[in-house]
Amino acid sequence: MKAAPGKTFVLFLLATAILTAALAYVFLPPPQKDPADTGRTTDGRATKALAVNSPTPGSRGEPPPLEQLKSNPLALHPTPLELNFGSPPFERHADGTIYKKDVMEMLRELNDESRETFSDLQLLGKVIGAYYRIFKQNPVAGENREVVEALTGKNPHKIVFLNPRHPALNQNLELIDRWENPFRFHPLSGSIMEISSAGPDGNFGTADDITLQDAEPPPEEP
Amino acid sequence: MNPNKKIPLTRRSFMARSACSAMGLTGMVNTLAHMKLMQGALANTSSNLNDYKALVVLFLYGAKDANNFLMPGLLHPARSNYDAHRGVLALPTGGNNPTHPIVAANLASEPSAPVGAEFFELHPSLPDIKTLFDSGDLSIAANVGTLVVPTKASTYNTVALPPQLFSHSDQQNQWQSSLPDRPFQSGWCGRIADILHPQNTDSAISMSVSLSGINDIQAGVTQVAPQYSITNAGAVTLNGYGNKYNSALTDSQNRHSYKSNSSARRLKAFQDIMDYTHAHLFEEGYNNVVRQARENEGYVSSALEEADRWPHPTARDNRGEAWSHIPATFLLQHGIDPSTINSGSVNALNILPNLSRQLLKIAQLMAGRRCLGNKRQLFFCSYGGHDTHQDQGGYSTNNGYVAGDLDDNMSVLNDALKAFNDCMRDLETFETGKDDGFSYSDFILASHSDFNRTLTPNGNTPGPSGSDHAWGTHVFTMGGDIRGGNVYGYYPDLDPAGTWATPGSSRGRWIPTCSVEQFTAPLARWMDVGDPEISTIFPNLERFSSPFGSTYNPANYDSMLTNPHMDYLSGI
Repeated sequence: MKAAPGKTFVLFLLATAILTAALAYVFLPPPQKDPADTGRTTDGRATKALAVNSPTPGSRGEPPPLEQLKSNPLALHPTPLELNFGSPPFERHADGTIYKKDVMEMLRELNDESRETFSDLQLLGKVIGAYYRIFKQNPVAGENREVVEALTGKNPHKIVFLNPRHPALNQNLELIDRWENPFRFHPLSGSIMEISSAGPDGNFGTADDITLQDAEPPPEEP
Repeated sequence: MNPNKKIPLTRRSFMARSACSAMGLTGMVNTLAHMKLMQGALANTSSNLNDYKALVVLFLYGAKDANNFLMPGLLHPARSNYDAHRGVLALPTGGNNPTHPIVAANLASEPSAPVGAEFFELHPSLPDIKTLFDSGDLSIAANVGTLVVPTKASTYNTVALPPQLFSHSDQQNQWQSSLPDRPFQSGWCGRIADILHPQNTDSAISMSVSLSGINDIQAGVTQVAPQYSITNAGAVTLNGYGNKYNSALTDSQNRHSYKSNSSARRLKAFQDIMDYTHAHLFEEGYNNVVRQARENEGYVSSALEEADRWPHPTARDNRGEAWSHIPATFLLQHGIDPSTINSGSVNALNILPNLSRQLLKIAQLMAGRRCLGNKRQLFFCSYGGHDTHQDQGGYSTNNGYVAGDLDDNMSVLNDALKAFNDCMRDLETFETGKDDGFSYSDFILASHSDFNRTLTPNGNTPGPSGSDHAWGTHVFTMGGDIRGGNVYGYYPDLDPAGTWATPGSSRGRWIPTCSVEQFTAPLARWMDVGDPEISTIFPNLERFSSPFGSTYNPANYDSMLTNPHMDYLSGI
C-alpha cells in the first residue's frame, strides 16, 4: 500500500524540525550561567522564580532595633504626616513651636457664652481630631493636663493647637468647662477619646454630666 | 512608550496590585512565622503529655483599682503615703466595713524586706480572697504592667514606652499579646496553643476555649488551635430546636434520633444539606464550618453532661432532686438557696453574676475534660465594669463608708473565685482513686487587667468620686502549684512624687517593676512549654531579667529590676 503524498510531506517537515533542533542543541553555545545570581541568564531567561523584596525591619510587625527602643521615646510612635510648615495655617515661632492658627482660632470660641457645653465638647473633639490627623494617634494622655501639654506643643512637631494662655486653662494647666471644672478626657483607644463635662453641679457621675462619646477623628486630611 | 507616563489607577488595577502585594509580602512573612512556630511544635510532638493542666486567664476589663484591691497594712512602710494621698478613696481598717488584713509569708521571712513590708489589707468585699490567701491557694504579684524595655522614672522620658499607655483598648491588647512594641498579630495564650496543641493527640476540640467571645489573647499565629467560643450557658446550639434540641431529637447526643414532628424534619433537612459534599471550595468550606461546629457542640455538651452527673451531697432543688455539684457550689457561695430553684430550668443559673456563670462553665468543662480529650487547656473569661472614674465608693470622717461600684465588683469577684476554687478542691476529692483523677494542682487561674488606677482620687466626695487611668497594677494567681499566701514582685512606695511614679504627674501612677512577660512566662513553663519555645512565645522576655528563680532584692530600684521576684510557681 502506498502512502498519500500529503502525509509524506508532513512527515518530512516533522523530521526536518527534529533534526534542526538536535543540531542546534549540539552546536550552538549554551546561555551563560548566572554568576551574579540575578535570577536571569545572559539571554534574559529566568533561572528561578523571581525574588520578592524582603520587608524592611519594622514594616511588617517587626519591632525597631532594641537600641532605638532604649534611646528614642518616639520609636514606637506613628510617623507624623509630612507637612509644609512654611505656609498657612501654620506659623513658625522663634521658640521652635509651630502655631496651627486655624485650630487656635477655632478654640477661641471654647466656653463662649453664645455656645452650649455640648458644642464645646464637639470643639474639643475637633481639636483632638486635628491632632490625630497629623500625628496618626490621639495625645498619649491619662490626664487632662497631659492632653493640654500635647496640644500646647509637647508633641513631635512642636505644633501648638491650644494657646498656652487660653482663658479655659486653670492654674494647674487643665482645660476647664464653663463652670470652671476640668473636662475629663477618657482615652478609650488611640483614636477614640471620650470627653466629658461634669455639668453645673461640678460632680461627675450625676445626671447633669455632658459627654461626647466616640470622638473619632473625621476622615478628611487637614 | 513613555516610561514616566503614569498609568491611571483603576479600581481593578488597585485590587490586582493589592492582591499581589498581599500574596507576596504578607504571605511570605506569615509563612516564615508559621514555619518557625510549627518547627517548635513538631519538635515537641514526640513528648507525651500524661498529666492534665488547665490555665484560666481572667481579664478584669476597664482597669481594676489595684490600689484598693491590695492596700498597705497599718505597719507597712507605704501606709503613710496611702493615707496621705488616697483621699476619699482610702478605706479604713476598722469600723463597720473593715478591710481584711493579710500577711505575706514570703516577705515576713525575708531578712532584706523593710520593716512591716509583709503587712497588707484586702478590700472589704474580699473576705474569701483573704481565706484563699491565708490557706495558700492564692498569691498576688505586685506592680506588673506592659513594658517595652525596663523603665524607671529616670528613663521615663528617654525610652520607648508602650504605645498609647493610658488607653483601654491598647493596653488590653498589649497585655494579651505581651508584645507592646509591634502591631497585634497574636496573643500569648494563642502562641502557647500553637506549640502545645499538637501534643493533645486525642483532642476533640481546640484547647483554647473562650467564655468571653473572640479575644486577642487566644489568637494564634497558626490555626492549629483556633479559639472555640462558648457562652456561659454552654455551647452555642442551632436556634429554633429547643433546649439541647429537645424539640427535634429524642437524644441530644444522637444527631439522628429525630422525633416525628416538623422541628425534627426541619433539622433533618438542614443537617442533610450540611452533609452534602460540594465541588465548590467556598460551599464546601462553609459546610465544613457548620459540620465542625455541630461536632464541637456535641463534645462540649457531652463534657457538660458528664460534669452534671457529679451530684452535690446536700443541695436539692425545688422538686427535691439533687443538684449537680458545681452549680450548687456557686449558688451556695452567692448565698442563694438551691432549694428555691428548679435545677432543670433553662434559666436556673441566670440568677448568678456573669463572671460566676463563666467560671462555673469552665469548672464543668474541667470536670468533663475526658470528653474533650485535651491534656492541656487554655480558658479565657472576663469581667468588665472596672473603669471606676466615678461612683467608686470611699470613706470620709463625715460621710462614713459609702459603698460604690468597686464594692460590687470586688464582691462578685470574691464569690466567683471562692466558688471556683471550692469546685477545684472538691473535684480532686471526688476523683481521688480514679484513673487520671483530677488534682488541685492541675489548674492555675491568673488575672489580667488593663492597668492600675491613679492613687489620688478625682474628687473630694466619697461615693461619686473615682480614680483615673494609671499603669503598674497588682494581679493574682490561684491554684495548687502557686506558692500561695505570698506577695511577689515589689509593692510601690505609693509616693506620687517618688521614684516609682511617672514623672510629671501628681496622681500616683506606678511604673511597673515587672513586665507582662515576666509574669506570664512562668505560666507557659508550667504548661510544659520548653525553653526554646518560651523564647518564641515571649520574644521580648530576653530584654528583661529572667523571672525564673528570681529573688527579692529591694536594695534599690535597679536591684528590683534585675530581680523581678516572680518565682511564684513551684515545680517549673
